[in-house]
Amino acid sequence: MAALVVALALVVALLGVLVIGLLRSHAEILRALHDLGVNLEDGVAAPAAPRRTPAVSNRAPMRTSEGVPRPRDENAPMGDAVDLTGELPLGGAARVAVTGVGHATLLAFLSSGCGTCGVFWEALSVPDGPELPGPDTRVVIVTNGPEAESAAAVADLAPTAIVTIMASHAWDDYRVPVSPYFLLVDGPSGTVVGEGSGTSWEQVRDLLGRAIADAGLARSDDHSRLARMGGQDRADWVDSEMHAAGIEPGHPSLYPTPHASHLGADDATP
Amino acid sequence: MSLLTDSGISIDLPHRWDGQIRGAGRGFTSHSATTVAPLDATPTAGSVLHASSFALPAERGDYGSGAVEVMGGSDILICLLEHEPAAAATALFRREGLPRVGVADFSPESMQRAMPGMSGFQRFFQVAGRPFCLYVVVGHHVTRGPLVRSAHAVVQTISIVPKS
Repeated sequence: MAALVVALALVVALLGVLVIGLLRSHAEILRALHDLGVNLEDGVAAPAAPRRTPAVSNRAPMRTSEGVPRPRDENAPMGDAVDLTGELPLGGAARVAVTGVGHATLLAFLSSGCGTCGVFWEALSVPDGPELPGPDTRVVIVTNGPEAESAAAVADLAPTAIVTIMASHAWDDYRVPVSPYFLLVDGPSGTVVGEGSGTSWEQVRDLLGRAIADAGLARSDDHSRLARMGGQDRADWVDSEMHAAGIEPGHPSLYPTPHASHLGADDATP
Repeated sequence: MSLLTDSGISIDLPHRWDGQIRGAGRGFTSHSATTVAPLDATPTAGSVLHASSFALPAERGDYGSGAVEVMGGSDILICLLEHEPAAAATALFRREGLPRVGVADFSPESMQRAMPGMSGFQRFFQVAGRPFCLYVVVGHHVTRGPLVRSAHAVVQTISIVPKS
């Protein structure tokens, strides 16, 4: 009888320890849920507690399709943009301003040798220009410099209506991990607002279109239509608009007489 | 400011300015003669410099056709075109050194292709036997004063090295 009582007491003690452990585990789960903003005790969601580690990235989480490399560290801020200086594929030097300007610039980092890049060389060469991820966006193609790329091959691939610049240091400045790679620069703020890669122009356009929307850069489409036009298209558009307004070559309105107030001291040489 | 150099020509570009220099015989993409002045239909034999306060289109003529069409009223386009060395001996290029860009020298009639409201400036000169034409366009003739002064400041940063 005494042995039975002792055994029963041991069982009760073990069950007690087990219940205490379960209650402690339950309390830890509740505390963790509370930290995440869930409060089960009164059935009302609690306000989210401050994050213990502040978010560093201003990008959405990014996944890439098979065969498409991931961009650089997701938690790295995209940072400030820099203007581009480099060589032209047919010879010569060029500088492209992307900071402080009134429009966005889509930098397409391409190579003449990579297979996936061929899709983008072709997409950017369509006669009416590619459909861009946002209004008032200028496209600039950036390849590595002549020391790493065939200038002749780049010249063959370069679309006539898009500025193509060869500048290896730009790949370093923007920390471009692979090609093809695309960065969207907001001109007025001089910052990179979106970046990524893809296997088709549509993917990239949609990706960067979302970046534009997230950054609140959507603008009127009227100006962008003109910006997307090639030089001849712009000239034709201007001619047609003037013709429609009754202004033909030699029209007096093309040669206005300066107002008297503008002919004074201003007319001296600076 | 950002220094751009090629073919013995250099220019210090202000912030927000685009620029391109192409070597002799290359010129820039020209357009059909139906909308472009004859001078712009044939690429210039020598080096060509373009500098602009706006985004330079990829397709444009040596004298800026294709670019002036997208200029705004407060924009500036500078074109420096080198001619054949033999031209340096002609009277047209007698003047030595970069010309001053003055407000009174601008006129809508100086535009290669008349554009409503715009104003142009054109001068021929030579530097150590290299003959050039400097062509400057400002976006608004009536309020051209500040624009011309800005253009003049940029033109003064142009440096030309004599060809050996």
